[in-house]
Amino acid sequence: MMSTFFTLALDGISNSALYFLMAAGLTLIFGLLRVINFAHGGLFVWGAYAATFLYSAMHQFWLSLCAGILIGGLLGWLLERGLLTAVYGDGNQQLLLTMGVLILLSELIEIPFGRDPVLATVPPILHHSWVIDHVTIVAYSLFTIGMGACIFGILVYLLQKTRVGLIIRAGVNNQSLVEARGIPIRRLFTIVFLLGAALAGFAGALAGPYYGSITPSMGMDMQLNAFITVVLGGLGSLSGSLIGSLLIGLTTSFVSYYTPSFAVLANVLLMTLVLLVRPQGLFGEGEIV
Amino acid sequence: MKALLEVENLHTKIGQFSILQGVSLSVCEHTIHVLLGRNGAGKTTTLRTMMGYLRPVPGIIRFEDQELTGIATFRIARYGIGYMPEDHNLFANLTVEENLLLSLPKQDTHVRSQIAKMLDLFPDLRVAWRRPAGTLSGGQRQMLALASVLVSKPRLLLVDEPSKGLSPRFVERIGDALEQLRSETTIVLVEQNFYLAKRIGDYVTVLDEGHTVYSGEMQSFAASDELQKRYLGLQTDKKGGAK
Amino acid sequence: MRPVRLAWLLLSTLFLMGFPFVFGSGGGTSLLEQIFVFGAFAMSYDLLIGYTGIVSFGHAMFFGTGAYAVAIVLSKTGGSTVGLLLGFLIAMTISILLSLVVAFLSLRVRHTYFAMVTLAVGQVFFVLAGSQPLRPLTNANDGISVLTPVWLNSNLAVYYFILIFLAIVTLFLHRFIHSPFGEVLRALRENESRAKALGYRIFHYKTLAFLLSGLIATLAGGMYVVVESFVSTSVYDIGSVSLQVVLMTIVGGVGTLYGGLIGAGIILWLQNELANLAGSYPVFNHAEIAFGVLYVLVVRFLPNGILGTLKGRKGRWRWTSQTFKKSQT
Repeated sequence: MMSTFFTLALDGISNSALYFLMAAGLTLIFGLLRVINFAHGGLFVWGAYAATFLYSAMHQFWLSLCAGILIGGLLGWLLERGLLTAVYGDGNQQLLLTMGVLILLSELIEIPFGRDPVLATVPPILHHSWVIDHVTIVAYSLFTIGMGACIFGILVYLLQKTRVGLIIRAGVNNQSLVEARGIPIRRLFTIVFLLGAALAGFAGALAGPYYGSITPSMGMDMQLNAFITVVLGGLGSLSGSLIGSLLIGLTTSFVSYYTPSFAVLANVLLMTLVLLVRPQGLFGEGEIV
Repeated sequence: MKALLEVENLHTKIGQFSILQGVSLSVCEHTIHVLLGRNGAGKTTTLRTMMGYLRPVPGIIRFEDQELTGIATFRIARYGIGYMPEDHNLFANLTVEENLLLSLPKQDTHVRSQIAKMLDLFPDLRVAWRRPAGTLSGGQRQMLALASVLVSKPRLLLVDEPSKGLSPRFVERIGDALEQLRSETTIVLVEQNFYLAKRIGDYVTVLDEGHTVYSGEMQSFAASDELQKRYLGLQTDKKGGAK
Repeated sequence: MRPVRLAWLLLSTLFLMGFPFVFGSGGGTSLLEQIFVFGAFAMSYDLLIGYTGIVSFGHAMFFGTGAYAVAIVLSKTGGSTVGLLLGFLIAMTISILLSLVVAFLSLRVRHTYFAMVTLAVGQVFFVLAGSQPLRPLTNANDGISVLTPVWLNSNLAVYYFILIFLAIVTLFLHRFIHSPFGEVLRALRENESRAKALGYRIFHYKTLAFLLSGLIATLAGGMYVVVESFVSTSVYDIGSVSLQVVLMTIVGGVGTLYGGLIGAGIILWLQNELANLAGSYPVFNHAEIAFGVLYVLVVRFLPNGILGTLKGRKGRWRWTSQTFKKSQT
């Protein structure tokens, strides 16, 4: 019984790492740009396919992770420069437009790869698992958790210790004043959007081997869980994303063990509970870290 | 004397409303130029237009020989124009230190000396050094707001009602600080507190319903009860601030 | 009503009433039935996005619930008229409860939460409808085939039944939008803080708009079962229902009411044509990409849709927008 618990918990935490990568990007982008990026799941799915394709062609794992980051960032850059700049300030247009891009990205990926699941293999170095006291420890899960923790550390460092981070925190509070200080806020918008998009691509690249196979529709599923995470944690808060992703990741893992199809239901119920008590999520807005 | 800032015939719309319909003023170097006028006369809008937040159609804003109309806010700031808005004039989530650091470009080698100078000018900030700006008192906030504009050594300073909501003691100190700065920079000051305006202003421009209705030296404006009555609706025997 | 508009109305009514007689009850008529159902659905959505200014990405939760409730009750009662009525009643009850819960959860803080929460809740319904534990009720992924009451067995009867439904919905929405309540909604959409200052309880107005919108969508979902005699999890699908209705509404014109009907017509007709083409040319198998492209292009370059753009030529009409300007002076 205990062993099942620990196995599931470990699984849940590695789920959380993926959710966190998604939620962190969403939250950073929302905090600064006031845009909820509904296309985030599309970037995730493209990252997953890019990495899987590259790995199956070249068998270079690190390179494939980089490919995911690159494709996510590139698409994010195109999206921000090409479409979003035109609709800053118009919330409904942003929602509709980014949602459209999600559909488009999920559909376009079907052309070369089809609708059926594509196999994604774990690289040999990470293809291990150990059973200690009936607790199954999967190397790739540990790796995923490690990556999530690394990114969290990097983001906190970036926001707290660097000048770009200082500007981002200032921009979250008061955009027009940042401009009055001689700082081009729009350039920062692009940087932050690109960063968030790259994180989504990275999450996709990690997710392929983690789930074992990838499909075009996994973008929407991931997106949903990421949304539940940020709503629960509080939009615009990085700590909120961390706590939210842990809650959602663990819930997903435990509920899936008993009835897989009820995981979404459980997550939405969890979100409902939090929203009933705190409509703004666990961590309020205003403080990004 | 050649004017540092020249504003001619500014017209600015916000939405469908024409807020400015012909604002002109000319500001000489090392002077304090006060903008007066009733609420809604267009003082804040004039400053915001100068900072490039709003685009005048038509209108000319010239800073030294540089035309500022249609230029992005951050570039205007980089020409050496500092702006302290009336509200939301600091970053509440950043510490006092971070508020000041944000105003200084990364490559500025005089960061330390500049910040030390601000702390001499506003000693109150020293105690609150690591506290978030949002937790400061009203007077401290205004000092920090002013300091974080001054720290980058602007050549022109646009200040919107620094005395608003402050106790007389703090109004005095803000006034002292601004007066000291005259030798280093040039100031355009929007001020409802006529007493303060009279004390530190060299020149005055009065706005009414989006027009410049009076421009001249503060000395003669302050001396003439008739002018004050005509343009500001001030009672002749009253000293303090009026609407 | 101006004579031109009256003439249009009469003409289109006559056309729609006579259509099955002229063209028979073949493909064209069944396409029209679908357009009526989705047209009513899209108009209900316009009440939300166009007249209240809030975006939902989960309107399928109502459409699908209407469809499933009617289908389940009909199949349990062997296709009786009482079963049909009961099904609609149960559907409406669930719909009201659902909209109250969702509104309470997500309309209190900010609009943007609403879009995310509706998306998530919509997906829950999709998953539940297809889940094994609920098989006794929903028949899981296999869907439910239903018998409709005897008087609805002919194609003509179904056609006119749906047409009457559409007419009632249109009339109701038209009256509603021009009622004092509708005026308040519009004031709210144009300037929320001003409406708040005037003392309107914004949350209540929005909730009621959402509730009505959901009710009509639920009815449309029930009508879908009457037309198709079949329901599956696809009625809860995000892509083919929730986002489809967004596309229909914005193509037709947000905030124009009849735009939804026009949009439904265009999209369903296009879909039909593309499906036919895909039958003969495999190239068109990925035709749904066209809808994705269309969606992005319309939102970006024709935000007022067809009807809105036409209207905009005549009078000034502005697309609703909610701005997120934080700490602006």
